[in-house]
This record gives sequence, C-alpha cells and structure tokens, in this order.
Amino acid sequence: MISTASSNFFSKRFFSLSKTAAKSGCSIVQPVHHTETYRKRLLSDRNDLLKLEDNDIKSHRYKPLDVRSDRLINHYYNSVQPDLMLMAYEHESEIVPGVQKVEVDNLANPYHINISRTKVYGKTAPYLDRHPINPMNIPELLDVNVICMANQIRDNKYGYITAKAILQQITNNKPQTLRVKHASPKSGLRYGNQIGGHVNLKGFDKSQFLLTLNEIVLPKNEEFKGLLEHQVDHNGALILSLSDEDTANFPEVFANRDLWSDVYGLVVNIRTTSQDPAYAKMLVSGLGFPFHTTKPVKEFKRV
Amino acid sequence: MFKSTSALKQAASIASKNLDIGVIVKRLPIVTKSLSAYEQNYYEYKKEIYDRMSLNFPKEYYFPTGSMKTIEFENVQPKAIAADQIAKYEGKIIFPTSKPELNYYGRDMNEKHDVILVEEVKEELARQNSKIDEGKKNSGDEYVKFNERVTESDLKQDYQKLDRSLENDLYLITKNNKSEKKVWEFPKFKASELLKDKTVSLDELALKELYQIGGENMQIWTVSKTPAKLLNNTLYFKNVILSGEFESLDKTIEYKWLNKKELKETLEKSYYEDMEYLLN
Repeated sequence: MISTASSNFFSKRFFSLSKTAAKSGCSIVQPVHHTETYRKRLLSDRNDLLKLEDNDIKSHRYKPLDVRSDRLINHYYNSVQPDLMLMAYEHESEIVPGVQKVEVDNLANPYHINISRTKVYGKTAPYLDRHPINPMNIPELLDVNVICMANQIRDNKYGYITAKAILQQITNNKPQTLRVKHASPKSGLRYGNQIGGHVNLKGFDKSQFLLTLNEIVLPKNEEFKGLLEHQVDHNGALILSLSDEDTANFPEVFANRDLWSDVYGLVVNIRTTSQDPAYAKMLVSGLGFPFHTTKPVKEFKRV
Repeated sequence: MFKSTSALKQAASIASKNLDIGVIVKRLPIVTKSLSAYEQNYYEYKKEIYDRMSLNFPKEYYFPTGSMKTIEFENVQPKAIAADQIAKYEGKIIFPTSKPELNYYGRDMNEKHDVILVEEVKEELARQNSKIDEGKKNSGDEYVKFNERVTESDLKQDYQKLDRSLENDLYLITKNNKSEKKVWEFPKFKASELLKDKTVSLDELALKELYQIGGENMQIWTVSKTPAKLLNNTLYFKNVILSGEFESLDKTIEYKWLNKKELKETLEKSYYEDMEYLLN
C-alpha cells in the first residue's frame, strides 16, 4: 500500500496527496456486509393464527372430522387391530432396512455444470424400512386420495368442472383442481391446463366413502371378483382405478343419472401406515375388501 | 413383552407331553354400539361446529334474479331475521333462547343453513290433498322400517343363540359334565395323542376337535397360527365364526355364547382375569 502511495507522490500532475500520506496504514479486514436477509413482517405476531396446524380449533382451516360415530373405525379398533397384531407377529423380529438412496457427488465431474449436489442417481428405495409389528406399530388407515380426470379434454375444455362436481357429490368435500404437470405434444395439453379435480379424505368422510365403495359400488359390477394383489404398493398404499360405469354406480350419481351428461372414472388411493405390501393387504381385507388371485397366494412368513 | 418369548418356548417344550389346545371362538358385533351420554354430547357439539362453519346456500348460482323460479323459491324460504330491526330495538326485544348471531347473509350462525325446495313443498301439499292413510304410507317401498336392536332371544335370555347381544362380541364357552371340574371354560382338548400326526398344525387340530363336539355346520376363520395365549399348559387359538351354529352332539357338554360382561359373572375369577385382555 505504501508503494502505491509513493508512486502517486511522484505523479506528474501534482495532485494534493496530503491525505494519503498522512495515513498510517489501512485495514486488511474486508468490509462487512449483512448478507443474511430476513423479512421483518414475518416476525410480527399478527400472522400467528396462520401458523397453526389444520386440526387446531383456532386455525381458519379447521374442520371437525368426528361429527358422528364411525362404523369402520370402530370395527378397526374392535377386531382388526388386535387380529393384525396376532397375524403379523414374529418371534424376535428385527428392523429390515429398505434399499438406501444412492447419492452421487456430481460436482466431481467437471462436465456436469449446474447440477446440484442433492440430486439422486440410481435406484430410489422400493421398500420402506420394515419395523417389527408391536403395539406401537400396527398398520392403520391414513387417508384416502380420490382423483377424477376428464376424458377428451381437447373436445370439451370445461370437462374439468364436471369432474370436480362428481367428486364433490360423491365425497362431500370441496375438490381442488388438477392441473397438467408434464405437457406432451401428443395429448395437446399445456403445462397448467385444468383437467380434473382431486380430494384428500379424512375422518368420517373417508370411512363413508370406503363403505359405499365396498358395499354398494363394487358389488354392482358383475365382472368384479376382488382386488388384485399387485394393486398394493410398496409404500403401503392401495391404488384402485374405477371405470366410468363404476362411478355411475355411486348412489349420488345413480339416483339422478340423467343429470350427468358425462361421467368419468376415478383413481382411489388408500394410504396406510404399513411398511410392507403384505401388511397393507391384511389391513384392507380386514376392513372388508375382497382380494382375488389367479395364482395360489404366497403366504406371509410365519413362525 | 417380547423378551419373554424365549421363556415361553422353554415352557412350551417342557409341557409338550401333556399339552392341551383350546379355541377362542367369537362372533363379531352386528350393529354399532349405542353411544354413552358423554359420547352423544361430544358428537352433538362437533356437529354444531360443523354446521356453524358450513357455507350459505349459493342462491345466485342456481336461481338467477328476476325469474319466476326465483320468486317461488324465495316465497318458500323461512323469513330471515332482520339485523337492522334488532339494532333498532336493542334492549326492548326479549329473545326466547339467546340473541341470534347473524352473519353477512343474515343467517343465524348457531344453526346450519336449511334450504327448503319448492318441489318438496308441492309434494307435501299433494300428499295432504290426496289424504293417504298412514297405514298405506308405511307399507310403501319408500319407507324403510329398521330392525330392532333388541332381538327375541335377547328378551328370552337364550344364551345358546347367536342372534343375541348384537352390539357386543359373543364368545363360545363350554362345560363338560363328565369331567371332575364342572366349570365353564373356553373349549379345550387334549393334544397328546393328536400331536403324533405332524402334518397338521395345532390350530387345525383344535378346529377338528371343535367340529367333533359342535357339528360341522360352522364356518370358522382362524385368525392366526400363532397362539394368542398360553395358560395352564393350554395353547389358545383365536377364531371368528362367520356363519352357522354350534349344535352340541354330546348332551353331557353344555355350551353358551356370552359377551364380556356375562363372562365375568360365569367364569372363575382367576381364569377370567388371565383371559380378560383378549376379550372385547
């Protein structure tokens, strides 16, 4: 630094250099800038009501789920849960880990520009970690997701309204719009186009939907023999796809069939807490859904 | 609980010579449980919250303003409480229950929005005009008559029938008058001779024995091959009866189908206390 000052001192134009000359030295420490930004409005207490959970009675999203006694859940706690405990019990069982996620350090490869460290390559886990069945870990129903998608959205772009109306009638819940996530030139749909609706069912509505599905809708289908085994997911979810004829058999649609010009099929996703497809099958069949297999059933390993 | 499994194995191996096998057969409840006063109040409270939070009927969506249908619909609706009138005569009005809490649309927030359809009113008027007898009303297909929760065998206290105590689980217990101890127990059999046939599992053996004393007119589902209880050298297997009936072929063997409350009175005290946690 002194050298630069001295070089200026002998400059031709003779500017005043008294200031720099008087300086004893200069700080090597870099100037500090506040890089961490925070939004001050988020710290105020006026938004505290929005931070509450959905099942809190103070929350604006709160909806009472237990408005009447639930036949399906009563049956679950009365007989299915203790039976499941006995059926899935193993002596001295241990935790069976699922396939681990493989994380590759992409930054090592100079050709991969702009690829983040967190991206996962290779197989993702098909199985969850399977914990032993004990009183704290018995498979249970989580919730039911129902999706209704309009066919031939190219011909009738307002079909999504019908799809949402069907869902609202059947499930007694306000559906959210389903939008296109991956556009393809073949379908002629763009990203963000509205194609239907989806609902997440909890509480009484969930069991009411499952009961009508099992006791009224599926028996009306003459070809129906039972759910297939492969419909059960590795994540403990059961995915059903109903045809538009099945949807028409729901009593809400069936009672006034002429009102509905178009009826679309449903995709029902029954989610459970089980970590193994075998346990999920036990639970769903315990709730009354029949299973059908062409091959002999591969029995769950017992003692 | 799970560390004791090895201890159980040891106990089982020692006692395999004079091992007994038993069955716990239950019938699942047929109707829902009647609610206690507390539960009833709880659900009523939740229902009120649910109704209170429900949206108003979107009249404008279904009935455009100025049409004949709209005028008909509005005539049928009960008159809403005028908020301005309440404000005007505040202090002078006496409300029978409590002061109504009105929302933006003039609906009392303590009640759900009841919508009366024109068609319903017309139907009722037509019914009144035609003067249908009440006897005819009940015989029609539209009116559903529910079965009673208390059955005949409930009133007769016929413990051998299965259409009894519909709200609760029923369990099969037997009493052998030939044996030295004439006590009510869950049915159990001696397995020492049966164990020679190693192709058949214990739960199947137990069911075979049960069919011999109770006839084969029972459709029974075994919950698991794992025994639910080991008590006095007896392994108990859990079963559910789906249809059919137990008919005692041997008259020396008495039987009853009882619920948990009745089991407590009939079974021996120590025996009941050991088995209590298995029952619903």
